[in-house]
This record gives sequence, structure tokens and C-alpha cells, in this order.
Amino acid sequence: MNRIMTLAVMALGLGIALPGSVAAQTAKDLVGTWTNVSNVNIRQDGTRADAFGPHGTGTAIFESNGRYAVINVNPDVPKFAANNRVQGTPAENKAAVDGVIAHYGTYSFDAANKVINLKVEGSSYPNWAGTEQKRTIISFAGDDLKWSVAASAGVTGEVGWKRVK
Amino acid sequence: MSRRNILSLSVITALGLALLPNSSALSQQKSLKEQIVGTWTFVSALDVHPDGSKADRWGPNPKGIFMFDGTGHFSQFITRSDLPKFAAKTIDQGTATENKAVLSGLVASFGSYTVNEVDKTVTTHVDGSVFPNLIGVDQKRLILALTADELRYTNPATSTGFTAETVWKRAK
Repeated sequence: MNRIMTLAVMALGLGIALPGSVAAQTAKDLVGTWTNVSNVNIRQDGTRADAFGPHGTGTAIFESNGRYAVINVNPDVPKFAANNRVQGTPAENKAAVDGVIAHYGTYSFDAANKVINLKVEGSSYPNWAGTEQKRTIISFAGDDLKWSVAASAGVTGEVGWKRVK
Repeated sequence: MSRRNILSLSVITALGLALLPNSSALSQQKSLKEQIVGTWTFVSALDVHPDGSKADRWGPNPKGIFMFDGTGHFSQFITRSDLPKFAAKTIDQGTATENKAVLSGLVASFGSYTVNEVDKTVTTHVDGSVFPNLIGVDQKRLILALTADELRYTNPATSTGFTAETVWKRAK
């Protein structure tokens, strides 16, 4: 084995990152729990609106075993008068469904293309169950992450997250 | 030091040494808090009615996930696998029937959790949920079994007003 090869193997063994890989975020950097800090819908005419009201909140968990869960809610959705999940009025049910997006399943992080690929197993929007989706990374550095998502026809969502310690 | 005292001391020391292996074995046993961390996949949840009869409200092939992270945060889903897709194919244009099916056939919540080793309970504090009434609510679950592969608990007060017995399997 020549000397350069030996040094390279030693560097790998010691876990020394090569200079080129320092800035790039890997799947490992995504693993953890994130709290929602912004969720803005941008229409084609450029107008912006909070997706889940002024107090929108949420969490995203990416596990090292490839599973994920994302929930975003409007916490100002009116509580059900009957205080029972299956006894909402049509107006209460509609407000609840409109005020949440929740989905979970498995994920992979395509670092080269800066895309998180999601395979949705279950969702508060039933049409998403069984679908594959993409979240395109807008920015990802340290404890801050922002992605964009095709929210609905002509609307792009920009969702910002901060790592929970 | 008298001879008697020395003898007593020796006995105490001997007892202490004899107890050591046990106490170190105990300290090596994982706490509930350590064991619960990770991802669990849904197996079953049965509503227990006041007359003792049990009912399954999740239908065939239900799915779900319960994540407990190492920093005290959780995310939980249980869903029927036959929720009707919205015919309008738009998230905010569900019909009354479609919206009702979501509320009836899915739970999704996130927030923080704590484990009480003495009571053998895990209590979630809900920060966000599909069901708005749960926001801000503490939900206590009594752990019946927690092994490397299985988590089983009762929820004495579900969002449908029943007690439920729920089983999860550790995700691989």
C-alpha cells in the first residue's frame, strides 16, 4: 500500500471529513426533531399568507431508521362543542381538517439534489396516503431548515424549521 | 474500636459486598424512559366499554406510528387504512362526509412527554392535534408492558370518551 493510500485509509478510520464534504448536509444532519417556525403560502401573483394562521405551529421528526412524521396545525381552530372527536358538527370538522396537515411514513434524503423524498403511509389529507412526495430544500445549515412544497394548484408553501435540542 | 464493633463492621461490610452484585444489576436495568425512546408501529387499539366489552374502531389493516425522541418530544398517528379520498382532490374541499371520516378515522398529535417510573405511566402534553380539543391537554397512559419489541398501555380517557387498550411494536 502506498503512503497516500495509507493516509487516506487512516483519515477514513479516524472519521476525518474531507474538506469538500464539510458544508454539505447529509441524511444524518436531518435526523432529529424539528419545530415549525414559519409556514407561508405564496401564490403565483407573489402574495403571501400564513398557511395556518398567525400562531401556526408544528413538528417534524426524522428518525435514523428512515421513518418520519410531520404535523402542522392552526392552534386557533375552534374546539368541538361536544368535546368528542367523532361528534363534530360539519362546520367543526371542516375547520379541523382545514387547520391541519399531518402525515407520516418513510423518507430518504437526496443530498445531491437537495430533496427530501417522502413515502406517505398515513395523512390527515387521505389523498396523500400511499403517495410519494418531494420537499425541496431552500436552505439547510446547522439548526435551521427550510423547504418548499407544491401546496395546491398555483400555491407554493415555504416551511421553516428549527432543530429541537 | 472494641472487638464487637470490629465484628459488626465486618458483618456489615460482608453484607454490603454480598448485595453489590444485585444492586449493580439493578442499576444496569433500563428505565422505562430509556426503553420507550424510538419508533413504534401500531398493532391494535380496543375501546373498552363500561360493561367490559371491547370494540375495534380502526377497521381492517389499521396503521400508525408513535415516536418518542430522546429530547422528550413525541409524535403519534393512528389511522384507518380506508379513509375515503377527497373527490375534489383538494385539501380544503372535503365534503361533510369526507371531513367527518378524517376526524373519526385518524388521530395525529405532537408535543412533549414525560415518563413516571414509579407509576409506570407516560404522559403526553399535546401541542398540536387534528382534534382541536386535545391541544394543551395532558394524556396519561398506564404502561402494561414495555419490552424491546412491544409497548402496551391503557389510555383511561380517549378522545372518544372510552378507555382504550393499545399495542405497539418497535419499528425495525
